[in-house]
Amino acid sequence: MTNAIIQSAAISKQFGSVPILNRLDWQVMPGQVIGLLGRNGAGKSTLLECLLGLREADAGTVHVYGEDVAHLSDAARARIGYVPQKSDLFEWMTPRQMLAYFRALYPRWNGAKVDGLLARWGFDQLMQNKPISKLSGGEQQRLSIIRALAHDPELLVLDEPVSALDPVGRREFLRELIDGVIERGTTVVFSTHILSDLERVALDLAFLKDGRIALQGRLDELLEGARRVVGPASLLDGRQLAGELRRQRTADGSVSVITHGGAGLAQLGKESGLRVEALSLEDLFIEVTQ
Amino acid sequence: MKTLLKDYWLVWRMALSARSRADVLILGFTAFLTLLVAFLVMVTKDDAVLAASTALRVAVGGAMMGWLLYFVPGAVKLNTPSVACLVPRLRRRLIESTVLAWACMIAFATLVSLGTKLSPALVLLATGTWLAAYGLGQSGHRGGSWMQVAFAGVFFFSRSLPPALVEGIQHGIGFAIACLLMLAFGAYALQHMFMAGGDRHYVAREAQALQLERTTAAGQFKERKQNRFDASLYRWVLARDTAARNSARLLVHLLGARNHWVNRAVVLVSILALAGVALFIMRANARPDTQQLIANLGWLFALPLLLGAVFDTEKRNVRLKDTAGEQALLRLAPPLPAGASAFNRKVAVTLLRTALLEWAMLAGAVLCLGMMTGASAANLFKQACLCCLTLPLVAATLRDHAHRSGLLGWRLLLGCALSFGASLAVGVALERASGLPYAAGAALASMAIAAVLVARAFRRAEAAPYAFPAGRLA
Repeated sequence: MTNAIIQSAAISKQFGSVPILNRLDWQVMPGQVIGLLGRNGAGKSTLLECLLGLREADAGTVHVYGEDVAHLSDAARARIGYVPQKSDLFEWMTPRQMLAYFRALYPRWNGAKVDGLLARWGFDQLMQNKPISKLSGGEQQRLSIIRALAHDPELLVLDEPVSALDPVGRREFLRELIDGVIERGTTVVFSTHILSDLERVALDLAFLKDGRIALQGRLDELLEGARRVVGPASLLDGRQLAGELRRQRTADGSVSVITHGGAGLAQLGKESGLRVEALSLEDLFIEVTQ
Repeated sequence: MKTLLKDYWLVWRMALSARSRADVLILGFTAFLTLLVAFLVMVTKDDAVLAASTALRVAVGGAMMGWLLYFVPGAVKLNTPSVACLVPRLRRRLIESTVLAWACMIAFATLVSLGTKLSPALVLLATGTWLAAYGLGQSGHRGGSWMQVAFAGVFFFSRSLPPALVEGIQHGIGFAIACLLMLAFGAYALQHMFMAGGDRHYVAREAQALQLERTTAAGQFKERKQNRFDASLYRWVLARDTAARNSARLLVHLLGARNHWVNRAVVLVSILALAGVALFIMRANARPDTQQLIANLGWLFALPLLLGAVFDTEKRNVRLKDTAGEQALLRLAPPLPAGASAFNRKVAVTLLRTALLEWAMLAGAVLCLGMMTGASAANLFKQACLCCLTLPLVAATLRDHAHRSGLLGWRLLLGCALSFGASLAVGVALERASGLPYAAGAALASMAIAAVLVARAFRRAEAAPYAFPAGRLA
């Protein structure tokens, strides 16, 4: 028995005949800040929804705070904050009404934090009394984040939280995430495509590919350990490299091999005709998820 | 000239393409109407020439009106702010095409009225004014919609209009002034229908979108904007419910502001007030025999309000599909029960309570209208029994929302028809067997059907997966 906050075992999910999650095992430990990466349609949102019990997995089990996700107690739910990809926020209400609505549903509500965030993120009195449907996409997303943070959740799940925010909004959100959430020891799982944000915030990365977590680790370790070995086919064909993740033949006929944590790479780099390169996060994303 | 005609043809086709299968619908409906009218004339007058000439007029008029009713909204939809400002000629062609279509329709209606009891001058004025009011209404202008209602009122109360006024606008200077007023109104309508960009156009576009695109891509009704009174009332109710921290009451807000029962109550009270005024005027001006007719049959005209029960059911189902995103947030909120069965029970009880409340309000409004017409106690009793026939509809709100969400459509109508038929059959059988009035028997049968359907739907809802987010397993 682990003390994982989220523990999923062999979860599978398919829409029609299209498999999305394929016997996926994953666990999120207390205090972890995990960036979930994957290409469009890889199933990131589906995975997050299954982890929170918002969608039923076709197979497998999910436990959150040790409880079956289909029967989460009030106490467990009060510890979770969730920002969906599309900020569905009772658009017929005003921000003030919507926040009052959720305040009535949660046993704990940090009113001072809400007021502070509203003020810092540009929600003046006029905007607070405007129907949510009249707010821009970015404003709705900020409101969605404020709603999710308002009850001081211990587990925060964010599904592409910054996709609709401008650079200023993103920076403010990241500052809040680091200062007000991560430093309080909150466990955070968030999916995003904006890799520069991930590098500022995430301590751990998980790559979703073919319905499974293809690679997971600490961000710095992943970047330090990941290498691209490039060389002629005559030298690399038929040669299995340690920690090999992916291999492809480039247009000029040479071979490119992606490795992670493989030993002896330094030695390999000294071989004539072979080149060992460090990878950026973007390179790693492309190489792992392609 | 060729370019001009090509432009008109292009505009015409583009406007009609805004509605799929418009041609088929117009031709089909016109053909049906033509055959029906020909048949009725033949049966009643036994005159083949008269039947053929009437049918021809209906065919041409029906087709023209049909295309016009489809063309105008399509044309308004085409005139977006960017199109109006940037696409050469298009706005002008849209206006010209609309004017041309209006002129043809007015000319045809006037020609058809020649040689009949109708006054051609009045037909000309009425057709022109109505077409402009329709266009204005389609462009999202509330005045246009109200004009159409007022138009129906004038038609209905035409006998109450001062004869001197009616006579005056048919001839000479009176007719000329009326024509000028009609043209001015038409010009105003055209200006509003086809704005030339700018802030006003963007603002009007929202109202136009609501008017012209009443359904979403999934074929569901869009929420209309609340007026100030409704909004302030809803604000008060929401503040009261959030202060009470009652999860069942908070759950009702998922249906949206316009579908909250308080706003439904306001709508019904408004209908009652308007109907009350209309009935007062009607009874004050009508002859004694007409007053007697209203008292004897007026209550029947209140019954169409019961259709509201069908619309309410469908609206609830649609709103539950539309708010799937919000439902995800509610699923994670602590006070709602854990476990699909308990959660679904809570949702089902809340929805059932709302459906019953709205049904009771609707039935109450129907009875009030009946009383306003001066219906006898026996007729009011019949009316109450007929209200009970719609009671089984409350069961349609209880569903396996995870698998099935959105409109029930023909299934709901078929269910209603079967329930009505069964209830009436039971009513007739009971009357023969025990002497109980058939309406009372039918009402009792409907209540029994409602109880059985609700119990069955409740059990199914409890056994279903989590109701929220609705439609995720569809």
